[in-house]
Amino acid sequence: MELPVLSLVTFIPLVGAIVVLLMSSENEKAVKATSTVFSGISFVFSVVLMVAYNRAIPDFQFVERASWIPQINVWYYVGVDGISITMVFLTALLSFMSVIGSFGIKDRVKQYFALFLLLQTAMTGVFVALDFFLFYVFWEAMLVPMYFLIGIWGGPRREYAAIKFFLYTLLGSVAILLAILAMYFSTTPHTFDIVELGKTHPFAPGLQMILFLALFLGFAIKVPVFPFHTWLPDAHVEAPTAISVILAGVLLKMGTYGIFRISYPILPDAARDFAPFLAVLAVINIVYGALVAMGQKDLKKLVAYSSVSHMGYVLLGLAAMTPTAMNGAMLQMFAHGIITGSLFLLVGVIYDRAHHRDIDGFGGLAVQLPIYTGIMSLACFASLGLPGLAGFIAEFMTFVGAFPVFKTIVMISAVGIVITAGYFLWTLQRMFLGKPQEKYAGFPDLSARELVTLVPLQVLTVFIGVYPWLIIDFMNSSMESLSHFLRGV
Amino acid sequence: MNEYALGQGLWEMGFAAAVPFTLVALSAMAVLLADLWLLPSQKRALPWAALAGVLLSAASVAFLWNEEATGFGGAIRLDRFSAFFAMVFLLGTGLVVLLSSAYARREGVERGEYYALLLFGTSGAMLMASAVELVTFFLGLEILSVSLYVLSGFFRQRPASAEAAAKYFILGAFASAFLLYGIALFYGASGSTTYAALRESFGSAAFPYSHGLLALAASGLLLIGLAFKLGAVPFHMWVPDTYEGAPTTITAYMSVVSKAAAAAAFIRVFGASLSSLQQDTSAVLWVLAVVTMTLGNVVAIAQTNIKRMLAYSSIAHAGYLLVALTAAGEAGYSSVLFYVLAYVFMTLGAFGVVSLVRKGEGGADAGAEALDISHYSGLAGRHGLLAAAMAVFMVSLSGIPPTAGFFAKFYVFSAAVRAGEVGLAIIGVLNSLVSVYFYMRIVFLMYMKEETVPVRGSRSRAGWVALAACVLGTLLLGVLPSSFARLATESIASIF
Amino acid sequence: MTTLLFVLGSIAAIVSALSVVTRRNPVHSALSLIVCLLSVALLFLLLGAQFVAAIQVIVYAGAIVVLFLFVVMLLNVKDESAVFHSGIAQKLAALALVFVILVQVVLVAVAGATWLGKEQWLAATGLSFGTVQSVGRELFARYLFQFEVVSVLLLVAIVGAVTLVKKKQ
Repeated sequence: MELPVLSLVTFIPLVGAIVVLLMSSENEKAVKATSTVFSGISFVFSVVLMVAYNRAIPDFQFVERASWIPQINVWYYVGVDGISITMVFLTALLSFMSVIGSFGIKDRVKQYFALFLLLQTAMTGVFVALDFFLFYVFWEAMLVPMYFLIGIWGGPRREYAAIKFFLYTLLGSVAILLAILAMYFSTTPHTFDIVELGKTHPFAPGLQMILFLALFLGFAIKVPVFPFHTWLPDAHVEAPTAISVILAGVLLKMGTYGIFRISYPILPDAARDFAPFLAVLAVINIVYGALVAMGQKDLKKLVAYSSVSHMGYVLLGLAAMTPTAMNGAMLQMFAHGIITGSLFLLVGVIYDRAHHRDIDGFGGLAVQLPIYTGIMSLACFASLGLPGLAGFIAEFMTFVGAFPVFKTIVMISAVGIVITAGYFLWTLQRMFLGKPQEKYAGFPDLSARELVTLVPLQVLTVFIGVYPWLIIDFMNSSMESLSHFLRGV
Repeated sequence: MNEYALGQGLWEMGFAAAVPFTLVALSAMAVLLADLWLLPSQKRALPWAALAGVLLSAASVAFLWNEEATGFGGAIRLDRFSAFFAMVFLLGTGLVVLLSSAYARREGVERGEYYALLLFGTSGAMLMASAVELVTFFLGLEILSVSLYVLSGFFRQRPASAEAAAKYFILGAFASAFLLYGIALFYGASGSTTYAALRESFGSAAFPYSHGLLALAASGLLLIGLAFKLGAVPFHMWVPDTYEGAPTTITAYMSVVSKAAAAAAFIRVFGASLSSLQQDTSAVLWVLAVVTMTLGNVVAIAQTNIKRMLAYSSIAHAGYLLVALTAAGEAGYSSVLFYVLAYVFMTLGAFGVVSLVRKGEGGADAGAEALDISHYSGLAGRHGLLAAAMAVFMVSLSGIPPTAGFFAKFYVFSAAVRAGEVGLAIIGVLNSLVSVYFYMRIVFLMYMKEETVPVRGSRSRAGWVALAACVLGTLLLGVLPSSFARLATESIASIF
Repeated sequence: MTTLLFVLGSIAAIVSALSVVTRRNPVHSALSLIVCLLSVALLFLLLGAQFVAAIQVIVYAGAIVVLFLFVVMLLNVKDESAVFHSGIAQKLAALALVFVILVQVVLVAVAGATWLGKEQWLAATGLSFGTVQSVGRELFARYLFQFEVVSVLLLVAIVGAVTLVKKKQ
């Protein structure tokens, strides 16, 4: 019998959550160790998945299928293709790093790790589900642990941020639910099968547009697309470090993933009609996000708004629909995950020491924290798109792929790159250069645990920057077939 | 020989159909008698006696699971539908009895009558679900109602409880009068009170216009009576006050059993017998569903008393049930059954938690029930398990997967879409979005606020067993709904 | 003879019913109600429904009106205006309600008889509707179960009443 790798990747954290819940809350070390082990095993299986995946074919692999609720034709149906496999890996990687990064949690440790593992299962589930019902269950199930994680362990305005995140996302989910129901009842026989619907895409153009808009509302809130982005700075800023990593690294990707996985294959006509609007929204995201980021004094808020800007590139790549642009978008999803993940971890590091995040309050840290400065600079350079690092390749591919389709928009978007470079360099300058400040003199540099979480992400950033084919190879065949299908080539 | 003949005679009359009802009613009488003989120190045995009665009846239902029988000249019918609802009622009653064992003693109402009336009420509910004749149905409804009037006024010393009982009684009597008038009109029009005769008279569209008018008037009156029991707007006025004033365990019982019984009777009368009037009733139900959901959810937001909040939440859930009833058809009615089952676990659980917490030392009224929503602040810190259970119920009530509440709502709304009621489904979904706000507020208080008033949780083992059962049920129905959904579908198929 | 009795009984019923609502003194109203109920009992007798007639006298004219009188005397109400202030709207609403009920009753009687046909109607309800025999047969054969269930209902009501008024132990 074949090993159900996908189920293992998905549900091992859930098992971990149950084990953690059954442990004594006194023994915090054991709780942390158990969580690391379970998240680690899940990560190992995700590596197994990457190694065993056949990159040459765009079809779904590691498919598992079992009847779940036969009355309404719901299946436990999971599988990965080029769109999802990198996301599954990214989720497992960032979760594993975040579990280690959360060792500093002091309050209600047991509950924190149980909820975190629960969250990991739900997130992974979203990326592997191939049945609408299953997809929706995971999509929604993610909300509750996230709500708790922000609301209990977050910053001063955590309650507001948590409920705002919850209600915003739920509003989007409801739109998705209605779209799912509508699709279910307009197919004969009624089906929730995403793969099947992607092959037959049986809806009339008018209906497609309605469905597309309903789904887009749900996905756009998650991405977040301007003007649905207002929950993001609140949630990102108030969430504890590890959760900000997950929010930026994984949750935002679900929106664009949803468009790749569901909207595009199932509603191709509507997608084509909508593409120009998507491109406009993309450029607004890029430029607006960058401008607002530039105005921030709070380091974490700056990183949060830079995410809004960077997700704009993904949208641009999506809108262009050429293989290069879509590969770029997909790579950007991955690159942004590891780069912004590291940025949030780094913000957490300095916050743990200084207990504030005011950019202007720092200065001359380069002397006191040389290693920290080095890694922070690397992450910022990667984020602003320095050649040789992951972010550059992704943005470059997106622009190259999108240029033939949307010339003006791409040129306006390029302004975003300049602004991004501006605010990141300015931040580096304000934080690390200048006269060292007395009050930061005693700060210890990065600890071993912090290095364990940060170094792998930096290595990956450089490696992808030098050899992007490592990741592109996984998605290329799926992207090409999707692109050909959409453009009718 | 005579006894044999009597037994056989009874059986030939279809006594099988009345066995579960009879067993519950007899258990109630046994509890009443036992109460007379027990010394005050032995009164603790009362809940167990009641539980034994519930289990006995449940065993009889299980034993008769695959049987079908019509009893006493078409008064009462045993089929999968009756059995399903009997099980739902018995499950609800059993859980309430477990919760009561601690609550009733603490609040000083541990008397034989309390448990006897609970069982009597259940027998009435079972009669409502299994009746196939209007008078039998009405008697069942009255047995249930009278039991509840008394139970909601069981705290005789408390004005709120007396108010609860008085309001419920007066409005309930009105509703009964409407119902009875409707029954009289049906009798006048068809010359019989059996559902079979109703179907014969009004099942086909071939009856004269005047009769259509008569049937409509009768249906309207019947609908009012049932809507009252269901707690649907605009017949909901009694709900908040009665739910707030009644003993908490009784509120739980009321919200679950009485609602389920009304839904069961509705399906038998309107779904299975008067399906030809469906277009007309659907139009009315559509409006009822929309106003009930909306009012329940919107007003619940403003509540500060947790029982009142749950009262409005139960009005809102009556609205979701009405959505399913509007959708009609086998899918719609199956979703009602599933919803009712899910509702038993999550609502009883929520009220169960309420019944288990009370104010702790330090205040002037230590030991009193902690009913203000603000009392739940910081509950997670002191009573992690109680708070976790409450969080599960709240998540389920707001309809978030993977809980029973999600699949129940999904089932209902998909039935509505299937029936072409897309607008209704959208309104329902938006409503459940609104409801998230006040359900999650409880979770928010429990987990993210500091304790303001010290609150103590009961250590009653029976109560904890009941809560554990509710949590398990809520999760099981959410993760593996398939076999329960099949049960619901089969039950509906047995009456069409 | 029957017709004469019917006309007399009907007139007595209507006149006394009107007097129930027009008398200002509540005791007079209650007494008029007795007259009204008795005349209706007479109408039942004319229809051959002895049982219903007897019940009408015993339960309504006997028990219920006496209860009314008790309450009236206990409250010591001299004039209804002291208790009720009914506005014109209320009166109109009451009239409308009466009208609706009247229409429905007529509808049931006429439509029920015409649609089912007289024979069928009689077959359904029985020629001897309301006699002691027919009521007894219905009660202990066709409605046996319901009859037994009523006893449960009564038991519940008694238990409830006792529970609510019993002194604290």
